[in-house]
Amino acid sequence: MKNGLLSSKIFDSRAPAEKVTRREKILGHFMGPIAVMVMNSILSSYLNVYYTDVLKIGGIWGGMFISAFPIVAKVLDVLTFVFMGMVVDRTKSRQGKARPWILFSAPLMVVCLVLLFAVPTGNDNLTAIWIFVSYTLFYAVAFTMYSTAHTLLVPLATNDPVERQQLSTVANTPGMAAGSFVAIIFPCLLVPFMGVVGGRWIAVAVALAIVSLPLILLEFFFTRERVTQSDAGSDEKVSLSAQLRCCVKSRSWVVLMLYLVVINLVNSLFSAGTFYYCNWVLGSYNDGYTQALFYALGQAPLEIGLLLCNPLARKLGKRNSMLLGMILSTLGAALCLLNPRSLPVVLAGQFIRSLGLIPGTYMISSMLGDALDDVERVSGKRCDGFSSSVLNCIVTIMGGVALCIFNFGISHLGYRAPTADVIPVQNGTIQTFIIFCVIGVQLVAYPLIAVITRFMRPDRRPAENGK
Amino acid sequence: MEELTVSVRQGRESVTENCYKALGWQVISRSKESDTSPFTRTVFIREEPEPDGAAEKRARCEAVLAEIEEIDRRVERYYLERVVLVGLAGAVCIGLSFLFLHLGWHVVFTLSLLLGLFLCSITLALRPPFTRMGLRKLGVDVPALESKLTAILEEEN
Repeated sequence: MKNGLLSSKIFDSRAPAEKVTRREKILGHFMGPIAVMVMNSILSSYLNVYYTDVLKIGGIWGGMFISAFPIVAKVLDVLTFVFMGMVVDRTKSRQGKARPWILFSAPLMVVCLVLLFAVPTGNDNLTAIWIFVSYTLFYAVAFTMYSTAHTLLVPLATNDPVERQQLSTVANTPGMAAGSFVAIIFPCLLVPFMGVVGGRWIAVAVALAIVSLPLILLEFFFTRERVTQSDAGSDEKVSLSAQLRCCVKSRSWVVLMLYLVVINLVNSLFSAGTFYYCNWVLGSYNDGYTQALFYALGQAPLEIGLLLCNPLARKLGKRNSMLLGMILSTLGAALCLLNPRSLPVVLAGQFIRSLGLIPGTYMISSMLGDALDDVERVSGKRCDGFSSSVLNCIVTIMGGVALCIFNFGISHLGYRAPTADVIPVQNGTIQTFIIFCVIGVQLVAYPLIAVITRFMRPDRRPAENGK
Repeated sequence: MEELTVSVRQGRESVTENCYKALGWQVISRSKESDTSPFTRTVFIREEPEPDGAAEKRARCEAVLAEIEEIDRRVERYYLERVVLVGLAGAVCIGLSFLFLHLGWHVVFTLSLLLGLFLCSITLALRPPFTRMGLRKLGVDVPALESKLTAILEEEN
């Protein structure tokens, strides 16, 4: 790529300053990524709903297609993620090593977004192949390309730790904004409008694609890579198997990965089932408020509870904070299960559950840092990149496993998709299954996580002659 | 071997670590209580005992660091007071959304809920701007204290 297409000055960054400017922060790191975050939020919450309720593919191949394809696609996603990491690392261009992949992924993502929704119907095999190919193209190719590069933009933008911290805060904000926007605007306004009319869903996807392309290009043109390989330093190359052997020697690392497997499975099942729970169990189909309230009461305490997190961690330590949090979340889930069809009871339970999740949510990076320090302590080697890859693999695979479980359940327990004229009532078994996926599984998982945290190393205390 | 553990506030890591390094201490570990904690617990060690006069010099440096920390504590209080207000405003908007829903004003309900969530979410990102505002409002001169610290470190023992 050194003397290739991106050598032209037309592709140069419009952020020429040596330090990160306000314009670069706003345009490159906030406005640019917001479109992709909105895209990702919509797809993670509503793509499965589009497949089951609009395209009605639950019956293809006796229900096996909708159960199996997510996990296969996610496994491919993990493989391409590892491959993409190596490709980005080896990229040398005038535009840097990560930025070119933001540019390349832009047209790919918007085209794949439209292909995800513009699915031909009438022939089950064609529909299945189209869905599998478009899903894999989006997640395993386009989105992987984008997210691998995007993750590196902050560390590559600056070496200054203060600037990096500020940029990191700015870069994390689009995700929160996008999540809230999708979680409120979609169920309240857009989904009631789209209903089960395929053409309207495609129109919204096209509109989103048209808006996204210039925003992703903003990210390309208004970011800049200032950190070079020589600044970053070269790490001693250790084989993957050696890194794995080093990591599994550390109890903290193993406990953390077990925690991540369980919590990601629970969160993914929750995410997969929320629309169905709010529309078929808690409220009525597309009523325009149940899902928004469910999300809001589940999310708001998690955000303002940030203020509680630091004093809690300081007083009790990470391990005890996590343990207490899980106990509180279990109580919240149990309250929801007392009457899972009552909106006030469920909202109260969600609120309490969310409060309990605060320590786990805001300590994950510092727990990872402690685990990496522990790996170095027991084996003498740093395995930061490897551990980060394992973490991302866990998140990806658990998403696929959760969708697999959820779709298998609803396709084999008699889920009835709505039509434009008829909103059916789901049978008791389906409703119980949905309740289990969204709430019941938490009642099993949170106590399990509380047990797992007992095996975490206690926080290091200051030495006797220390301050 | 002597060991020293210091709680370092976010943004003061380089000043504090450079100060202790200049006094002959080495950093062996850093850890945070949580991802969003403003403090990093840094552990320093030194192989040999402190020479004569070094303890007094360290005490003077720590006094200046304590003054900086006091300023930071006041700025932190300024930030917390305002961020709690923003969070409460978000909670009020969410509460009002229930009223609008009850009244059947679905669009207003949506906007109120969205505003409430936005205000709650934005609390995560308000530390830098509120910290800058706090420093301006309190009219403190941290660079002057950092220069004083540098001057102490540059004195001969």
